[in-house]
Amino acid sequence: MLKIENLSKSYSKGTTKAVDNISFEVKPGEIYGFLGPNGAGKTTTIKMIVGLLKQDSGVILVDGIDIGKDSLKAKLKMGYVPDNPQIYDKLRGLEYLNFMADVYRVSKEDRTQRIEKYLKLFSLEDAANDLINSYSHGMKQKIVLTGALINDPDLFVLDEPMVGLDPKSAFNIKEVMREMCDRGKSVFFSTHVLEVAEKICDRISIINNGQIIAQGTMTELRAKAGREESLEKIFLEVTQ
Amino acid sequence: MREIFILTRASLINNFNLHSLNPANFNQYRNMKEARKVLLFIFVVVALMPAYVLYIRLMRQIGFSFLMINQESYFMALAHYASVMMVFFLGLTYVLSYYYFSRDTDMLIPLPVKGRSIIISKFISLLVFEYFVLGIFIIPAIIINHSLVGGGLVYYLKAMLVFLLTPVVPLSLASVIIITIMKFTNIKGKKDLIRVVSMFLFLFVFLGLQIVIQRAMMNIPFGNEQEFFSKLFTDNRYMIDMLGRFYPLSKWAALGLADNSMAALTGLVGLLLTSIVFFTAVVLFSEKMYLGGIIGGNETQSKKKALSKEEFVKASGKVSSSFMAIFRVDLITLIKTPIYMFNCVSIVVLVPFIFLVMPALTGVSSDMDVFIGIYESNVKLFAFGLAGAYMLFAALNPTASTTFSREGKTFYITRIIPVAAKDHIVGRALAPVLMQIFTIIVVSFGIRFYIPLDLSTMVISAFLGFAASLPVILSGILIDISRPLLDWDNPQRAVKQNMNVIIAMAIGAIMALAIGFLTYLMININLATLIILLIDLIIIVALIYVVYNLLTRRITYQLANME
Ligand SMILES: Nc1ncnc2c1ncn2[C@@H]1O[C@H](COP(=O)(O)OP(=O)(O)OP(=O)(O)O)[C@@H](O)[C@H]1O
Ligand SMILES: [Mg+2]
Repeated sequence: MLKIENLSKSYSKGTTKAVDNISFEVKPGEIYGFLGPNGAGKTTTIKMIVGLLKQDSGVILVDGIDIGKDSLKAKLKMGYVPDNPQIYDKLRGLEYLNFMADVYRVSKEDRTQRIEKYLKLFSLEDAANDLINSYSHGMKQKIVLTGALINDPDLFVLDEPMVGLDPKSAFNIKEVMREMCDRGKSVFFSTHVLEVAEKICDRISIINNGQIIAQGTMTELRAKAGREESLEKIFLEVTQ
Repeated sequence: MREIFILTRASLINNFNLHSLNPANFNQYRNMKEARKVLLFIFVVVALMPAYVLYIRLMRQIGFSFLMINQESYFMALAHYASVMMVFFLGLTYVLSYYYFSRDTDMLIPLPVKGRSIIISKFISLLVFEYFVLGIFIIPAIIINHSLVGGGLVYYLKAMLVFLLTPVVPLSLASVIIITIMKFTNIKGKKDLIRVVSMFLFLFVFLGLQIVIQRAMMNIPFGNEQEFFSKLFTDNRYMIDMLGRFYPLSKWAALGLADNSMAALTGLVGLLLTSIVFFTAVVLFSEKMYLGGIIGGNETQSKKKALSKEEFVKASGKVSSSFMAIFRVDLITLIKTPIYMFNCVSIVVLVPFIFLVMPALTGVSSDMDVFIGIYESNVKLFAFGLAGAYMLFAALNPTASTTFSREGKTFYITRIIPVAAKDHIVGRALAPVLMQIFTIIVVSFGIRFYIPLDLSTMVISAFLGFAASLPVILSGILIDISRPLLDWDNPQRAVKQNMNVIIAMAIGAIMALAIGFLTYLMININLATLIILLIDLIIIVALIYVVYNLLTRRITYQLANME
């Protein structure tokens, strides 16, 4: 569903190499976790996938479509939740969701049904008709989540989705991810929360200084480490 | 004192982007960018030069005509008064945005600094900004006045003092008015709407008051013209005294610059003392009213009530096309953000008001006779001239040239949504186009109160003016996508401190000038109106085609490649 080949990106005219020749693939029906310390290059990678940054070299394929070549088609298949939920403050929650549904060309029945489902799931029904300006940080995050899910994306991309959410909402996101995968869709997300990654990810990449230093299923990572270890131990070992 | 200095410096750096001017922050890559910026700046200056030269010549003309009627000191008073008005109006929006909608206030309040320091530093920052704008307009007047009243180096020293003091009083008044309005409209519910409405109400009342004052000032009792003229010649302070009755500061400033007499000294001292009194008063007033007003002032109404099933289905809207969705978000944001409303939409309301209602109220019917004369002696020219004026209105409106900048931190949404360039363009052009249509309709019909336009003139000017506005609006969008100003935390930056507005104005003015000149030539060689119209339309369509295509490519490129 998502295929990354030899992706590189540097900032400040080549002085900082934020992402250095990474490759991986997220298959349909898979939850893929992207781990790494601060400044490792996670956000940079994600921004390239959703089209907010242009890579210096390498290819990004979303369901076989090159994001650099046919970006509209690729974007239609994606949903993106940024690490910082900044959205149109002057709109009501529902107005924002309708905007997203319109630009992603979602039919009336589908949007009504999905909006209802996710607002309920994230306990946002009461706030849906209020101005986003009046939302708390977590509420904004949840409305962005709902907006990103409105087109029922084939590839769901999230940057640190658990930060700032209450336990119930964090749990709900995990449920949503699971359920999407059961329907053959793919989820790609970055996180610092190792237990989450350990529990729900089918496969994991650990990135450090722009390079992928370990990847595979939990079992494969453990096998590599040679011991029966928690992800935390493995993480600390490989990223030091 | 130190606190005030630190805060002021921080806010100036933050607001004017002074860091980019620091040579230590330059490097090879940036130098290229800086060089481009400088080139652009030169281009804008050159493009706007003709207008500025015209302004200076007009000022000289006015200055010398006052000299002719023995009232030369009135010139400076009038220039001062006009500057005060300008500072006041600019001040209203600056105070509004800088005191209330800038995020740095939220950051400052928890800091262990005195409220008074915050207020003073804010006030000084605004003063500095006003000096830049004021300088452009009043420095020519000061120089012209020098050629009228003479005086050596002392003149320029005094002029400097007058210049520095000029914005203090109007800015104080603007602060007090805005703070009062904001304080008393801090009402739960439709706060933004109430505020916008009360600001407009205030503006109308204020303009009306101005009109009444001017009328009273210039009112020469019927049958007393003889006396008026003889007074003019015997009393060379007759006019300045008339103005002085309504705004003594302008009189003092002008007298202070006129010579080195006792009256001049009293004038300057009066100006200085009044400014100090106003400054102190505004600081005391803001300490009481402002800080109290902003704490908790950000509250937005939230009902926290779930919708019923039917309400919900209705609210989840009907399916619309991408450009409609973009237009809707654009419009809602424009209307609900007071700063945007003020800067983008108010022009549409105020321009017709000033052009159409003011003359009626001031009763300058004699000026209108001149226009009627022009119209009747040259109907053709008038139709095309009016169309040109519509085109300039479009160039003056910052809505198109800030359309992406206004999105600020939410611009990434525009970049990730799967929307084609065509829909982006139409969605963003709609708001400025609608405003333009509104302006054209109001002016077209309003102008008939003064000048008996025939139907064909109305139709030609409206139609041509509308068509000609389209390339202007499109190039505004083109400028803004080429260099959007996104990194702001005060919406003011997006519309008022945005070079794109001025660049777009310059480009619009050039377009209007070029088409206007060509049309003028065609009228001169007596081509039939229909032919001229046709040629103009062909040029406009070609222009639209070129700009549209450039825009399509630019949007596609920028949305994919920006950092
Ligand atoms: N706009 C930028 N300009 C210059 N350098 C940048 C920019 N954004 C990121 N970087 C650099 O790129 C590297 C990777 O940053 P990135 O934001 O991708 O890290 P991250 O893995 O998301 O970190 P975190 O866990 O803190 O979110 C860092 O060294 C950072 O300094
Ligand atoms: Mg990050």
